[in-house]
Amino acid sequence: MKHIGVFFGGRSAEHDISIVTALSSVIKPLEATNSYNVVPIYIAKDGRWYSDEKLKDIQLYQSGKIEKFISSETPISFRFDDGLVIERGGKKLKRKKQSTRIDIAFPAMHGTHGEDGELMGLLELANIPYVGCGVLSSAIAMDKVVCKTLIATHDIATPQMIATTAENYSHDTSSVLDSINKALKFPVFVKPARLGSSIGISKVESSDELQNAIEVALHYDNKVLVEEAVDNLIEVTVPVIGNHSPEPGLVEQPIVDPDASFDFDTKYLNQAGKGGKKMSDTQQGAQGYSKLPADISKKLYDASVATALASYKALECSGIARIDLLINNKSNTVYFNEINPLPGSLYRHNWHANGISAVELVTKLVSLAEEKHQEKSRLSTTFKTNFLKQF
Amino acid sequence: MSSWAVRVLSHLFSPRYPLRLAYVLQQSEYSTQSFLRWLRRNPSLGTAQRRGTFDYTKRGKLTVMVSYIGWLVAPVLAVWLTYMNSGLIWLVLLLFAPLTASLAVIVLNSIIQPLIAHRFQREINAAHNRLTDMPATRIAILGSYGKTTMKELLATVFSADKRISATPANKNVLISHARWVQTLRGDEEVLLFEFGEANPGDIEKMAKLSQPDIAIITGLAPAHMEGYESLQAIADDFACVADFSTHPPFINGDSTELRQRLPQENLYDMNEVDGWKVQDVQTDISGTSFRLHKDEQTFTLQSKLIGEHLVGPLALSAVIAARLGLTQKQIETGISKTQPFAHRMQPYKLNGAWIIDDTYNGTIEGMRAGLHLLGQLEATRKTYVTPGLVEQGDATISVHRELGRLIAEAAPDRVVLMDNSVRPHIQVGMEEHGFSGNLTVEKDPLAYYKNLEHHVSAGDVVLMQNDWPDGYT
Repeated sequence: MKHIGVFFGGRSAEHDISIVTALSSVIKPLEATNSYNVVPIYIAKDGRWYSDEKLKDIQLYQSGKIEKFISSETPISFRFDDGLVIERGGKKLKRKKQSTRIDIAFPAMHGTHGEDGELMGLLELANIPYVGCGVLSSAIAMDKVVCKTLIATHDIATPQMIATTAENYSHDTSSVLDSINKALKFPVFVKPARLGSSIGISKVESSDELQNAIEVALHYDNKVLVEEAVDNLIEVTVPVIGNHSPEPGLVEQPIVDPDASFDFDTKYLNQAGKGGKKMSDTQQGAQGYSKLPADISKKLYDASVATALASYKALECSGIARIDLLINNKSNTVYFNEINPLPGSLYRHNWHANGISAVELVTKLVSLAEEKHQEKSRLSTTFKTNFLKQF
Repeated sequence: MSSWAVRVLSHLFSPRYPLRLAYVLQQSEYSTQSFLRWLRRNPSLGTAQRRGTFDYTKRGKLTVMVSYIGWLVAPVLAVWLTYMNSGLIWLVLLLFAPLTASLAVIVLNSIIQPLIAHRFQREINAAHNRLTDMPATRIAILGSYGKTTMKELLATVFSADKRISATPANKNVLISHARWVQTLRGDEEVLLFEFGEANPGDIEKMAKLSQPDIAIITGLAPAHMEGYESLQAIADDFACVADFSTHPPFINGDSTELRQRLPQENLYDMNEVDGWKVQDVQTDISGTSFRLHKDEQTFTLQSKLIGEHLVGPLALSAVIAARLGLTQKQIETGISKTQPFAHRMQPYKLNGAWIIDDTYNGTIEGMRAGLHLLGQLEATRKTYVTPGLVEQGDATISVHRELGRLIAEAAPDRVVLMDNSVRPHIQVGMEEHGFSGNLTVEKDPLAYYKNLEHHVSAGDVVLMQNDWPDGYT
């Protein structure tokens, strides 16, 4: 049986979310296929990497015993030996070193140092198939400024925006604020450019609140995006799966307070809309409660699917991603908001509702990873020159 | 040494082995014969106590203690022989630890059993005397399958107007009946007795105690075939209830085996019960509805129970309720309150899929009914999950081939079988009858059940029938 390495945890604000994604939505379904040996590869908050069967148990993390556990373990090391080999054991445990060749990688990391292309770079170097988006699309998706700029070149609508960096802002604060006040219509959203899970996002109703919101966002990232809020807003999200011929999941409508942004607590903690109400016609997903499928007209539904697929292709995504969209319900305009190359828990509740089980989802993702890798393997990466002979 | 041999040895010499022995004896209801059958099937007890827990009754504690003493005899002797410089014989002796523990448990049981039997008889006599003075209508329910469902149906319907009491859960052996009688208040109007059968003569003993006014025989199928010689022997055991019952027993006419082996009198089925005609039957995942008509009277009945095979029992419940004096409204309300019972054709939602949990079903007739329903239901994808049946005796091969045929007829998209001794027979039946869906064989049933959520999605219907107890492989 092939060994699938599931990478999770990481030096990210979304460390804990990654654990849940990996354990509940990736490792368990992969094991339920009875087709793979699943190797957990856990990256602790301090950046050390560990691998042990015990890391598959959620109790280890919930009980807080993970710290004690990793303090008694030796971090793993890697060998790039015609692929990726992990080595564990050694001096600290006084046991023989064990090597495991990873045949396929399944990244289950959210946020920085994992979802942003860094891990994918490592896996590219190792030359093994890996699930999900590649280096380029992951890196672009992580930077909202670069992402929206690129999306706009593909004639996909996205709200008006202005970006600034910590250096620019501290150097000439009043000029940055002036340009935002002149170019954008309030209310606006202020967002860290490279952080997921809605962390550090503020909705700003007037220019008085702008400075504070930018400073909050700069606390999390040194690049900040300020963009116009969409009027008559309906937020929807569409998971997409595939490589060259991507297929959409159901258009889903998260339930949030219309006056507030869809923040971290709403997504992961409240398990309900901001008002805390559980609604009877809704479904609990990774992001609290939502309407599934979205309660919108067929025209808007189809436009949302089309925008999601166009965005997926424009950003050269592969494997899986979730595209968040903003709809102006009066003008019937669908805007691209952001893309998430590794949706929390793979957005499996959406796939379930669409007739795809967790086992089928992970099996398909693994096969897409292998397909992408085979395609890439057919390309030549070296060629003969007499360049060196000239020296 | 192979990994299998290492695993078996590790089970045999595990410090938990004596506890597992006691657990197996307890699960065998302290029957030495059943205990030995279990040991023959699985001497290492590797799969014992994976699901259940040991009940530390007085007798249970004593059995555990003796089992451990027996287990320690070998090592103690080994140490003594080493001390006496008796060569390597101590090593051989150590290997006997599992055997000495088993022997100790059997000897203890042989000593205790007659004493217990004497005490049981006194309790049964006292219960008999108490019942003689009680005015309640007594209803006996027996059969290879469907008796718990029948009991629960009657209890639900009668409770609209009657003070009733029923033998609890699956306490369906003679001594539990006797103990239950002692807990009664005495002013009950209806008493429901569920008769369990494991060996010839069981039904007669229970009928003697309860002296029923009404008896219902719910079905006949190969079950407990290690206690009975044949299906006819079980049918004969059931038939003897007529000798003790005031009225001839109601017999489930939907059971082919019963119709073939018992008198064609007083049948109830999905078409007729005691002159009442069943009409307009409709069943789906949300429940079952039908009308019951006789002379000028018509009952409109709706239940949340699912499956056509339950029309007969529902109709019979209504008819007996009418006999006992319940009004039409009380009967209709009573039937509307009937719901699926735990693990018996019990539907629930999981990840948007419908799961029908029928894991307490342990007979081919129950399987037939479930598969018939699965064939009728609308679904994007249908999945059927079963480990097959246990204790089918000489009928093991034919019953499982029949199960394979029923599966092929129901034509689910996916079939999940467990990797056990009966699986090949089911597969032969499926192949012979042209099953063309997807077949998966699971090594670890418990892991599959736990991971079920990962295998299903919206539009699926999954029927899970039977779940083997510890000790069957």
